[in-house]
Amino acid sequence: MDVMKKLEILSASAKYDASCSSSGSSRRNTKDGIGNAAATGICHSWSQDGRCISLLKILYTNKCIYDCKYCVNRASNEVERTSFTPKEVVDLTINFYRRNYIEGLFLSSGVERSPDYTMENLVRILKDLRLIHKFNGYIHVKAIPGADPKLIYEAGLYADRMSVNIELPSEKSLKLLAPQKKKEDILKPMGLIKHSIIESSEYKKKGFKVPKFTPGGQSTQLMVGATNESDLSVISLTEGLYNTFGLKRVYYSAYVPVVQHANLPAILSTPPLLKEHRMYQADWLLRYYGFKAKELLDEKNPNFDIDLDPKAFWALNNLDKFPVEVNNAPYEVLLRIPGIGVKSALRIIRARRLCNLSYDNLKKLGVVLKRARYFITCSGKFYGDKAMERDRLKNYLLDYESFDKPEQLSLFTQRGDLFV
Amino acid sequence: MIYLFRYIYDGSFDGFLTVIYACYYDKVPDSIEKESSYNFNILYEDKVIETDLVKSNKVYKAILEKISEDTLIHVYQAFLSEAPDIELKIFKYIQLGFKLGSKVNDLLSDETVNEVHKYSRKVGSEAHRFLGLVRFQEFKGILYAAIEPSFNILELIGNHFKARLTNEKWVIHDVRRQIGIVYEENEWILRELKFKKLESQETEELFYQNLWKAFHKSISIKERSNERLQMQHMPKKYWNNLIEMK
Repeated sequence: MDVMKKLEILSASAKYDASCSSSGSSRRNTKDGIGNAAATGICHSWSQDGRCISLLKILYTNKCIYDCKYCVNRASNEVERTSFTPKEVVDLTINFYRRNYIEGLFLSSGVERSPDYTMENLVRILKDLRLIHKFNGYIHVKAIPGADPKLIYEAGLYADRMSVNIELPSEKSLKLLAPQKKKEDILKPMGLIKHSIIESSEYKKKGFKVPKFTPGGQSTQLMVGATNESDLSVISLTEGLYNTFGLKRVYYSAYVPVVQHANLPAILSTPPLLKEHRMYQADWLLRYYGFKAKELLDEKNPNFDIDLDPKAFWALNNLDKFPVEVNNAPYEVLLRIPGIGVKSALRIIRARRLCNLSYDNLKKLGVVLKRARYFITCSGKFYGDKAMERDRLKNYLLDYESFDKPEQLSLFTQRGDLFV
Repeated sequence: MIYLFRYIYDGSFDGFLTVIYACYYDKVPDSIEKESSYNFNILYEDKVIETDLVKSNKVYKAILEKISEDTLIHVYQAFLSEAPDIELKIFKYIQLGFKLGSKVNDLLSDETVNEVHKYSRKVGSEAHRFLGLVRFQEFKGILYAAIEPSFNILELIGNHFKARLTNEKWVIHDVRRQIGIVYEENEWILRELKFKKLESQETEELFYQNLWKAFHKSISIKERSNERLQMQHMPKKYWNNLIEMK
């Protein structure tokens, strides 16, 4: 099979991995080498689905011994199978990189023969790239669950980021859809990676010269909408992952039905993109806005309102905390106002050092007030509606922008009552 | 009759800083114009400013030391926007800077500061965009890329590619401005490149271009198709020189 055909097959089966970020690592170029990594990450192109392309995202092979029900590469699915040779991966990476098509390589794989055999192959490609071809661009590699810890450790010495995908957010779903995988197999490599990162940085602090271990940290992915977990259980899991494993990112992927199975959504249903979007918004609230999972949702309200972004949802449930005075509220409180993000909050803090801010000043700063106005006062003056009532406010906060997506049209018509 | 007063300079950044020097030691102008966009205007009394590296260096250092590095970056990036009348706005911004020191950048509700920041941000973000959007083609071992950015961002991206492609020879050609960066042996220079953009026909080059196009197509999830989002991130004005979009 020629490289073109292989590339088509092995990139098409890698596309369900949401992560394409090339950030977190500032690996330098070497004297006789090619490439480096930019800590902020750089997008090189965008595919037709609007997702950024930053890495050459491919599988090493789509041959797989596992039969996970949701996966397009599961053993029992009849698709064409193929593998790259290490040389092909190296040539593609270097030549794409030289032409500035990509920021680096994202190497994943089906599990061929055994986890160890597969992981060995991945490590070999990494070593070829780094040691023989002196490639210093970004490399993201999958840790294969169940592989020998030594191999996973070795991969971490050459990669900028590693990830193990959890995919199914509970043990119950795992049993239902991927009975051959065990929870421990997934969590063990995550623990190992975390431990090795800490160890490497501890030694470095003490002044030892140690090899870097995945300087860009580790990430994982959860599937949204394949199973019935509540939003609360998904964001609690996310919070736990950030806290216990020190993950850099948790990605969410709206489940695209690829195979027909009794335990899965029907093949023609559209992927739950809006739900995925809400999960990302909630994830942001956990990481940058100082929210706790328990604040956002509880046992009584285990799911977000799909029409509202999670912050607006939280604000409506906590109306007693508003309005907030922009001229003296601390940063953490400014961040909790719907419509005000990190940038706006920082700008407000900078600008109010020099003068008391009026409503017009806020506009000039570029703060978007469409939603924020119902939750703030400027020097004591309130610019929103007179009454702070949940149902009235909800109408102002509906996230119209998300309604443009075709999937949402049906939602829009279902909820016609709100728009009378 | 009282004439309005105007400085004319050569369009370079050093030339502009020399004008700033003149604003302080000679006279405050009503307008600052580039030579290339000069039109005789009966209302103006014109004075041509010759670029003087000693004077421009003094201004450069003064901004750096008396105001802040951030301010210098804003001045430089806003200048590269080539927006109409940006020179006078930058001058007013610098004036404010000498008065307030580094605090000038907190004065976000001031119109001048806001304008200069806005252009600086636009130029900065386009430069960042092009770190990804430059597409090299190989010509007998030399990498060549044609770009058509809205702003004059070449100088802002040179060091990035120097660090990456240290051991290659490469050229980035701003087709519309007819200038380019030429890199060889650890050094890049900005120079005039008065020719139209080039397209490589080498077999190996076309081989990788086709692979890239195929990859770009197959990595997209068709059930999530969202061309509006794609266009928002990668506006159509850049598609001309993107191999995958041609």
